[in-house]
Amino acid sequence: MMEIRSAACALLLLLGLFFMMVSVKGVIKFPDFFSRLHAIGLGQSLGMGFCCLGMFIYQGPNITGLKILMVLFVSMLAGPIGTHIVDRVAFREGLKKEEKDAERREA
Amino acid sequence: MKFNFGNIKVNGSPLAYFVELSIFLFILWFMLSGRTEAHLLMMGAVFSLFTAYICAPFLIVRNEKTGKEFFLLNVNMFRLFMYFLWLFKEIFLSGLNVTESVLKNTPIEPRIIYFRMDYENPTAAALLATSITLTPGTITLDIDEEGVYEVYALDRRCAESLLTGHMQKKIGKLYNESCEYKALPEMETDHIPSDMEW
Repeated sequence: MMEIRSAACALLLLLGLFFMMVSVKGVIKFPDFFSRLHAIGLGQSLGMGFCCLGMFIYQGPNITGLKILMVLFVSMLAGPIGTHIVDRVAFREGLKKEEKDAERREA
Repeated sequence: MKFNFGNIKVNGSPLAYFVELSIFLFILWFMLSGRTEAHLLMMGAVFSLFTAYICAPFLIVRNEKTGKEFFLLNVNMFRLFMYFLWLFKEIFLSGLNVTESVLKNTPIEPRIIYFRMDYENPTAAALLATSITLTPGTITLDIDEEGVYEVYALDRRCAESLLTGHMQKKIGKLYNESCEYKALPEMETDHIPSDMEW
């Protein structure tokens, strides 16, 4: 039973790491600030979600497992607030077009 | 026992909200401590009641336009849980979408979309904005007083899946809101002029 749980945990952790890697690639690849925020959001929700799910399965349904789920829940509540504050300030300051043009010129 | 939040009037019974918050805090305390001895459980119960007594007035949110006040946890918890399960499915699907557009070598076409969903309960608006930002590929930029959401979408598919209005209607049903969903045309300007026709 423990072997099955470990295998499932390893698979889910690998899946989470894969999404985090995709998110890093997106941060490097995407042209402007807001698209990069999207890429970060991918790692934050899917990468973190799968990692926490894997650790929950490894731990089993006890108090520690519940705490892991709570970490996931709190990060899901708090993450969008930070993203929102950053992008709202950037949008109001009119970052969008200038940033994009500057990136294009550099590339 | 008469219980009220000072001078503040909310719809529904304040005592029920107080009890709901204490139960919620007690569950949270139990999850964090994990002890089952009788005297510790009693201590936890007493302190969650005390904390709820102090904190319940802070969890009232006010609609600035109509002046109505709502309690934050005044929602069917089972339906909220079902909504979160649905949201996880959506997050997974749109995450695959974003993964594809990262790994493929085609240029992305970011766009700003607008829709109108004027909830009376500010909690519903906050839940919708958080859900949109949590879903990869869409980020809420702003909500204005008319309930117009300004959403930055990574590509056309992300925008279309949001503009179908499933998420908006689900949250509306969750909070028993009667307002109707309306998608607005995309615009090039950075802000919405005040005399715009809906």
